[in-house]
Amino acid sequence: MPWNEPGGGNRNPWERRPGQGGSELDEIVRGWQRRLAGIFGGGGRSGRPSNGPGGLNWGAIALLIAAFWGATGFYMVDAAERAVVLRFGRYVATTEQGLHWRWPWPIDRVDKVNVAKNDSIEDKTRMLTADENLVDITIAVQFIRADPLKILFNVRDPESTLKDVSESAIREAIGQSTLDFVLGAGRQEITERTKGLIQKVLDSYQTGVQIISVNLTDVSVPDQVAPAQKDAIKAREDRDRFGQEAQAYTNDLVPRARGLASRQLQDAQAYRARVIAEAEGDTSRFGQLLSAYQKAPDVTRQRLYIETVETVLGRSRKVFLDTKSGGNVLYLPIDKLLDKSTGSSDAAALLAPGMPRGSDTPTETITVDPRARGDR
Amino acid sequence: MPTRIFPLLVTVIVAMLLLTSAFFTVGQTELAIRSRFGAILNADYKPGLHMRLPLVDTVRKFERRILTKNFPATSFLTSEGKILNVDFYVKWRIADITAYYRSTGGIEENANSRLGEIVKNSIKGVITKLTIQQIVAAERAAVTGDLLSNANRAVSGLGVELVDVRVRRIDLPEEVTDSVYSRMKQSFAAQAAKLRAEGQGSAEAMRADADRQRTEILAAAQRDAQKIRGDGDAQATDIYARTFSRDPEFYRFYRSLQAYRNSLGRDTDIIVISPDSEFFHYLQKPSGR
Repeated sequence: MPWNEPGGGNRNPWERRPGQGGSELDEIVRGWQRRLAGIFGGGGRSGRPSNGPGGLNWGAIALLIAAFWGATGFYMVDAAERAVVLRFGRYVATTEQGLHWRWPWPIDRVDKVNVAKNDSIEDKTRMLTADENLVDITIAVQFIRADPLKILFNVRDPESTLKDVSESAIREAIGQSTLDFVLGAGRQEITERTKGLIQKVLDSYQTGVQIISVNLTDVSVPDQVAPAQKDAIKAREDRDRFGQEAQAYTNDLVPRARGLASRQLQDAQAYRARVIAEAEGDTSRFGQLLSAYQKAPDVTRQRLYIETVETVLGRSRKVFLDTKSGGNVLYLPIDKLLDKSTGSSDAAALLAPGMPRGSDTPTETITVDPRARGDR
Repeated sequence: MPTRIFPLLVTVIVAMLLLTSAFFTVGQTELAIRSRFGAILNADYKPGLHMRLPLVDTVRKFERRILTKNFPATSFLTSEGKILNVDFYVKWRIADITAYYRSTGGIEENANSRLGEIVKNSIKGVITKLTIQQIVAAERAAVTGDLLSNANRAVSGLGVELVDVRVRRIDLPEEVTDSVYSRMKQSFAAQAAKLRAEGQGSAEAMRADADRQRTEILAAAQRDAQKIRGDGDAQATDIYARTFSRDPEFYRFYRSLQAYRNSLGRDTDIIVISPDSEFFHYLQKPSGR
């Protein structure tokens, strides 16, 4: 049966093509199957011996094919997915997780979109700040395909659109900020502003993309400028260090000064206590002496005087001079005497040849009597 | 037998082909034009299955979605005569499919290049009025606000609607970039110098403050100490005065003797003395007065 086999093969498209309505499709297919069976049956009757079983066979094969065809209409949707059903290209339904059936090819088509998966794009660019400096920014944008219909139907290539919009938005945010702001305190604000801007623009295109987060993963000055910037950062540390050193100096100096002040006050108080105590002691002694003195003034006075002179003269070297004789010039070499006092005793002998030489003790008695010499 | 089946088969196949070519589908993301011998019959198809006359009608399909065209690094002159390289993109969609088909032949690249020229001219018109600084810092609306409506008027003949024009990048030419780098370096250097000077200044101030505190503390202590000493001296003087005024003459005698004792009679002293002194009274006249 070389002709029947390809004939049967050709029949499949025939069975499928006309099906355009929803519920009557089966009816129509079945009707055509019957007619086809008639055609081939008639042909067979004319000369073929196997007409009876041949007609039966074609019907069964057609049914089997139809069953297979229908079975290809089953599809599964994951929990994270939404399936968009298109009938001859026109959107008819969105189905959620589970097992579903659609009209098989070529009537229906299903596009699945994962609405829960976080995807991210990263983009590194060099851009100008408001104060015309250059800064390298790496921006990472996380997003989900929140609205499957918008994703599929509104913008061609939503992901590259997202990339374009991200770059444009970060450029706008950076372009309105100074370099200091970008490198320092403004990072959070820029991120927020960029995120808002990206979402706003994407919404205006109705892309169906929802931004989860925007991160500036790297913000740095260009390599050519990096050493200067590092030095500026180091300068900031230096500044803090200078302050700490000065603080250390203060912390060292002031408490010491307090200690010193305290010492001075204590010393002064000690002095006061001492002079008062001394005054009290001295005056007490004097008072007692005075009381005794008043009982016998003359004797006490004499005694005190003589005792004092005794003490004073007892430990000094002495030169007696009879001043009453006058007239004669007396040579008294004070310097020699003083020299003598340092240890040598020659001066005494030199001065008073008439006198017997004394001992070697520093204390020496030199008697010069001009009057006696004058008598001679 | 084959002679009978063959024409039948041919008939069936031809009929089938005709039937299938009588239908066409328009997708959810598509626009379609059906024309017959070049004349447009219908340009307003909704997504779904549609009919046409086989062999006679032709159907062309176009994109219904928003399309993007990037224009990289286009040079513009700013108001101060500097060159800026601007990357921008244009988002557009087909608004009037008949006009679009007529003006571009339905070829997207043609539409893109026409759009590109129009938008570039519009951008040029905006940028020549602004300085680099204004362009860089401008809100999008300031640069592309008027531009969008003006350009839309210009492109309407293309059957196209401009959805958006946005600047992706603004770059300075290379030689300007170098001067930006050196300016940035200088700026950082100035910042570093300022920070260090500030640090040293405030450190010096702190040290001076510490020194001042120290001096003040010590001076105050000195003052208080002198007060205390003065108080002690005053009290002592008072005590002395009270006692000594009981007999001033005796005090003078007594104190003088003390002073002699303390000030005279060291080893090195030489006392030149007259034997007539009261002390030597008995040395010369042992018999008495």
